[in-house]
Amino acid sequence: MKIRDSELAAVGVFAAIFVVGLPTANALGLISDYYLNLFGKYLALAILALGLDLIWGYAGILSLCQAIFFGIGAYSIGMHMMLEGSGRGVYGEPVPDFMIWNQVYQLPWFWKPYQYGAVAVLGAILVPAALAVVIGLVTFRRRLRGTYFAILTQAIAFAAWLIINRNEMKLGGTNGLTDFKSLFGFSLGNPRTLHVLYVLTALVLVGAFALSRWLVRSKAGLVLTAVRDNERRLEFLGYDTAHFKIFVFAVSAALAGLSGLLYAPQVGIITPSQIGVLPSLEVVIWVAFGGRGTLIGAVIGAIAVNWLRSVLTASYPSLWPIILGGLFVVVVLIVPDGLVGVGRRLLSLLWPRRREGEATAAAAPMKEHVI
Amino acid sequence: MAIGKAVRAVGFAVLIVVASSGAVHSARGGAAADLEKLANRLADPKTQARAFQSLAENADPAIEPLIRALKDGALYRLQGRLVMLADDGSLRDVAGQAVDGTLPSGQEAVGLDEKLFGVVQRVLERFEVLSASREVRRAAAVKLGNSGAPTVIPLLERAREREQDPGLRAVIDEALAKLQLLSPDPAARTRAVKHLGGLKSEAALSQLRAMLATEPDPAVRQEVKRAVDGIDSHIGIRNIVGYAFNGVSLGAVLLIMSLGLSVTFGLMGIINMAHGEMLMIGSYTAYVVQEIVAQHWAGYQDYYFFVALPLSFIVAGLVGLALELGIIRFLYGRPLETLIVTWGIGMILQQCARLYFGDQTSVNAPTWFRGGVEAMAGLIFPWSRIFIVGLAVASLIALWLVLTYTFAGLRVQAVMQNRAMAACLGVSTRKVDAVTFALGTALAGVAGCALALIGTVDPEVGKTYIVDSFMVVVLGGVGKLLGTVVASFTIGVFNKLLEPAIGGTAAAVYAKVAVLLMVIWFLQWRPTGLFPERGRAAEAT
Amino acid sequence: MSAADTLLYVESLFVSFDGFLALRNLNLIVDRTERVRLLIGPNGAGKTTLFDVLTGHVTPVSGRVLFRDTVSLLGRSPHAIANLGVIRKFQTPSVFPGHSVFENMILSVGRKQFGETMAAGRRALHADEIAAALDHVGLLGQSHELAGRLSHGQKQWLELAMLLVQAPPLLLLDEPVAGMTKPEKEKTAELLRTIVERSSSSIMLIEHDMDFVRTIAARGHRVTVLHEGTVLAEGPLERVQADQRVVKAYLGRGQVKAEA
Repeated sequence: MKIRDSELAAVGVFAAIFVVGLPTANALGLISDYYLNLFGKYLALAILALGLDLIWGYAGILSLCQAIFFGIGAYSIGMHMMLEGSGRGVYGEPVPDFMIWNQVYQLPWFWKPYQYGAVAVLGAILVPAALAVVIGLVTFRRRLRGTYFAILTQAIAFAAWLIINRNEMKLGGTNGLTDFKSLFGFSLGNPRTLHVLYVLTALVLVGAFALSRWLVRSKAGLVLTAVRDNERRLEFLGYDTAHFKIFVFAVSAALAGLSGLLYAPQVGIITPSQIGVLPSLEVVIWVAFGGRGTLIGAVIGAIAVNWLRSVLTASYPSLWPIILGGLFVVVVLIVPDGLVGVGRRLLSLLWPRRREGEATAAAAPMKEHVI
Repeated sequence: MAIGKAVRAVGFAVLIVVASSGAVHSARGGAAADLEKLANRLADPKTQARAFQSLAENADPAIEPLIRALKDGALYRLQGRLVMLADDGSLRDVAGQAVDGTLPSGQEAVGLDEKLFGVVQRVLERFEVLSASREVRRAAAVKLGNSGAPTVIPLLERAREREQDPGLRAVIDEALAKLQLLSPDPAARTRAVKHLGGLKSEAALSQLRAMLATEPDPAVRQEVKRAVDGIDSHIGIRNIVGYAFNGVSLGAVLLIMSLGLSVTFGLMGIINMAHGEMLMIGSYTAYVVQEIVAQHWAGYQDYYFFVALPLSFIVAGLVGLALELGIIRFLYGRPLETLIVTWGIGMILQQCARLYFGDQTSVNAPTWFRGGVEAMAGLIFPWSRIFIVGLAVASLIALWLVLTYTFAGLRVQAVMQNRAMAACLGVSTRKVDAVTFALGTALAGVAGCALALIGTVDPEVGKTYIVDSFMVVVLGGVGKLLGTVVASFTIGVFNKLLEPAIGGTAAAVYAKVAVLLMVIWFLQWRPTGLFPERGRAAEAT
Repeated sequence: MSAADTLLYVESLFVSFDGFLALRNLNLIVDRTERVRLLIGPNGAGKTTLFDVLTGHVTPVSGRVLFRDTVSLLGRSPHAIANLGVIRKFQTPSVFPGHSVFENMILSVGRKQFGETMAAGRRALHADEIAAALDHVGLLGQSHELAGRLSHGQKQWLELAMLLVQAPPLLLLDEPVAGMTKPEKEKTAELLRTIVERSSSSIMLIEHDMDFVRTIAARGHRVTVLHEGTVLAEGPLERVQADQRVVKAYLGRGQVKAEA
């Protein structure tokens, strides 16, 4: 019990820093708008990492198409913002400027629903979830091996990347969507809008964290970790594991979509380079770096690796792929439990008595037990 | 330029031969006078344009030197006569006879109206059909065939008589037949149509199609229709054969790639995402060998490939061995972890290649790899692609022989089937793993070396093939040689056949997506691939 | 033959692995009144394969398998069969090592459908039944221990408790005492006895250990001998052991003969 309480306390401190601390520091002039915006981006990506941690860290299923779900979220809100700004472009046409370059003068049918903000927001979350259900139905229901799932989702991510790069898709081709003017009527040029977006992102992250924490500690969460450890045993107990796997895949996809939804307005651009295999695998590295199977690890990992990226790509752009590749190798080989694992080991070295705390928890009476 | 000179030299040679034989000379006396007259009209600015207009129909080779001299500014007036200044400084008359005398310095050449340059060029091009160069003659014959001017028929006929090369004679025949389609004589037209139909001439197809509407004679029209249908169906078949061949060659590359992948996946539970970079290493090995040979032994450039091919096998194999010993061996039986780690290694290798070699380089195929086999009329299988298919088959047979007939191969099989039991029997599974992994990467290196022949060499070459290769492994069933073969060629051929079927600018992308969907669909009823493992051992998790 | 009042009815079952017939024309009937049925036979006789078919893990070439007279078990997925009440224990202890003993029990108890599992949320339902089952196998004191840290025997008992708490009509046990120490074996035999006494489950048991078989069979349970994928003999242990064909099947292995 004690371990979990201290974990929760750490989460609380963490949340306080990012939800209250940073905006306050910004208001006091200690942190520039640029940095606040940068952290807003990291926090949005942390939601993406949370989603992957649920399916990979807890259920042991390696999904390599999370970036597609993220992309759907980002493109949904991106399309809405493009349409909000339509008529204000260089050409003053009712369609986004890039369509004019491609000789498209009529709004394509699939763009039309995104004129409505509610459609964009709901679509950003529900479309990824629905897609995950479809992918889950054709893979989990057929009991494809775990490695096959990783390979297939990777191929799907590759295919999605190929498609979205084409101008024929009318989604801006390789240039993606950019030059957003406003979101729900609030100008994105106004720093106040970005402040609000930051706080919103931080709050959504806290909410997503709470939801994930509830899920992994519920009976369904037990089932998910059991899928990771011994799926066959679970089936012989009578669980249709496919249902649980599809469910957690859909939740992780929805979180990824949510992440993209919050990311695009803050960064101001979404391109195909953020969809595909490498971006999907990068999420894996964030989670592994922070500590797989610990929700807080996913959040820490996402923030840490992305911060590292911001710092290093600025000074050594051509070395970044090598450093990132090295991170893939080092994290898996040398620190498989990530920063959180290292932290825990350090803590238990410093305060060995914590182990006793664990033992007292075990002696708690049965009836009071909460999973 | 060199070609132009050669053409002129031949022209002169012909004329000299003609002129020096007395009988011909006297018979051509009148012709020489005509030539003189023509020369004068061409030289006079007032009549120049009209003279060229009349020339548009003239294809007499005798006039070539004259026109060329006019164009090159080598035609002069000397004592009232027109003379041509040859390259060696001697003077000749318009018929090519040597003329005594020297040009006064500062004399200007006979001028040519700039506006007529195009016409002159066209007139001269006709004579290329008599050129010394085979390629020039071929191009000229094709061009004349398309000119739609029946007046060039005599020229072409003359060219045909002189032609020694049977292949070129066929080209000239085709050109002649195309021109004879315009003949007023229905019998001649029918002959031409039949000839073209028999040739399955794609070049004549549009002209024949047009004839369907314009041909007045119903019998000829019937013949035209038959020829058009014949050519159409020939083109259809040929295209399919062509696409299928491209598919087979893609399948061959996938096969060499997937053999290694499938074995390492089946044997060790490793998903090696850096396998594509092993292919890249093979390609760059070919590139480096080529550069070194070009620098130090320029005379042997054509043979660099004999060094590059085994070297790419060795280099990629050694890199694979280092990878296995340094990293992979810590991750046996943890496929998802190997996927992540090897992806990282792939990124590092890719970026290193980019930093060192730049974004794109290319390898020149040896000259004897240029060209190919004409499998059907108008369909050439390039040697380089045939070579790749052969290489894939050779690799497959070699691997199969090694696995089946050598002691080492039997050990590999033993480990694949039952690792624990093999270890108990004294097989060093560590060694088997390392060697097998290295063998797999070495094969990828060979694939890369071969691939360098048909495409550019760039750091991303591996990524293009790795996803498809894994589709092959999944579709074929892990660790199954036969499954890998069938799946490679199925995916390769489907991919290339779907591309034209889908059409449009994004066809290649949609074809890839369609193949992926087909693989997923297939796995719905065969979740373990085409050739799954059976029995109780396979069922256990 | 017609089926009536049977718990399990297996008729002319054939299973082929790449042409090798693992089961050939196997017929077997377990009555509803029968509490324990022992399955013995030399290695490769098809005992485990039969369990694989019963739990939906192997699809037979032909044959019929009926549960409680009417419900066909063929063509059903493993989880569906488990939900019908046919529960299996594997040879090696198969628990969730990363979960506590109590969490293992939580996973085993109650309904397994997705909706119900979600609705359970974080409440620990059926705590009394779990406590009773753990008490039964003597693991109540270790309920917060990680299952992976238990001894081999304890893991086997935990698995038994996990099966018991589901109160299945048919319990398939595949060599439950394999790898156990002698005291552990004795305790397991005792456990099985109390299970038979206290619960309504019928047990089908594969066993190689003839001591153990004798302990169980001594209570008058029937024994079925499988050999080369088919039933060789069936009846009380003494009669089966006296059967010349059975002796021949085991010949060279010496097991039955030496023990008899």
